[in-house]
Amino acid sequence: MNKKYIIAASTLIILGTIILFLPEKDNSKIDFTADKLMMNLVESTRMMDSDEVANLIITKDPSLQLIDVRTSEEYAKFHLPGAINIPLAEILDEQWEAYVNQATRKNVFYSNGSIRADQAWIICRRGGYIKNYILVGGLNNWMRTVISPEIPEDTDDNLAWERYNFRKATAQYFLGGTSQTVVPVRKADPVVKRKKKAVQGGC
Amino acid sequence: MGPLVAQDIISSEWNFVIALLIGIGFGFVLEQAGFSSSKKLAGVFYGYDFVVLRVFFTAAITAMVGLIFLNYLGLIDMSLVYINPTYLYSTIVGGAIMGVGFILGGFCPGTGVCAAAIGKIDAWFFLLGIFIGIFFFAEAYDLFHDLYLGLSDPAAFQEGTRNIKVYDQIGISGNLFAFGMIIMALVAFIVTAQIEKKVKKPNY
Repeated sequence: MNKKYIIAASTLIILGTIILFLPEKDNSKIDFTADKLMMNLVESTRMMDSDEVANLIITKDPSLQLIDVRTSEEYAKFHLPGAINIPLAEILDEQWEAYVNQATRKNVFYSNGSIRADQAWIICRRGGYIKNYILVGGLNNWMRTVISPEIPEDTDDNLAWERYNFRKATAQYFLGGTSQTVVPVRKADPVVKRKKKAVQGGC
Repeated sequence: MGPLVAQDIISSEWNFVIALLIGIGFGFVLEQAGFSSSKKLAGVFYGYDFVVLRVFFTAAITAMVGLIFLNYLGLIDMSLVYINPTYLYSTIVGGAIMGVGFILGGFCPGTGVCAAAIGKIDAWFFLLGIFIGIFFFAEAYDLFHDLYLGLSDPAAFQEGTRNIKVYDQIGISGNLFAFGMIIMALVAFIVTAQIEKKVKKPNY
């Protein structure tokens, strides 16, 4: 038999034997395609608004995990109750992997606005991590809505007033003090009197 | 990292340019290896020359081994690699037609174009036959519609994706299947070499 054939055949057999012992691997999570990421980015389900988060905190939902992605100094000054601090720069550190790469809890990222939280979310999504969410508007929006909600206009619908009362109650939970349900007092429209006018023109 | 085109590392415009270059290279190598001779190709059927089988089987297992190692090294995302969808009845019918055409004409489509390029008259007629076939198929498309789209295939083939892999169907790991393919190729090479020895080679 030709020597070349023997060399080629034995090379193939050696490679085949190595293949037998190679582990199965799935690289689809390593290369998260731009298309997939884009599809995920436009989904609104990755967002959680402040009322929803406040409700979860108050009802002590065990599936909620707040994650403060600001720096540790900012975290020390103020943070939401029950939040842990994972600064954005350290989000992929091994010590935090058990927190961000899991499938049982809802991780809600927040920062002052929502830029850093969004960055943290994208980094985690590219890593193939699921169950991460963003607090819409971050702490700034939290203060505006949950802590010191704006009084709706008299002309707003009942939903706005219900939301306002809910927020007053959450503010009471977070700040203490009392609050009373506010019922909108709708003023009657001023009566516009019609002036009698003389008939104009005429023949 | 890979596949390069599916992930836009190579744009689809460059993809065509690269495809052209690879195509020219493929045709050149085919011609150099003697695949533009219909006698050599028909040898597979008569048993005097199995070089076609050897070349294509070697190409397949080389690509297979390469993909498995690239995948192991994390250089390719196999979920993005295009897999030819499986059509059962249309493949059987098409395969039979292709086989008859192969032995009648002495070329498979690729080698037919290759031989036509170096001016073989039989290959020119072969290509003409291909285009008549395409024309006939297009005109009679309504007749073949169901078969072509695989509408009468068994339910297992129609559910969801047609990207069926043999090793999933028989329930073994991909790597074991790959090893089996290599052994199968080597056995085929040895057996065909024995057949070649026994069958008298015509002059060509």
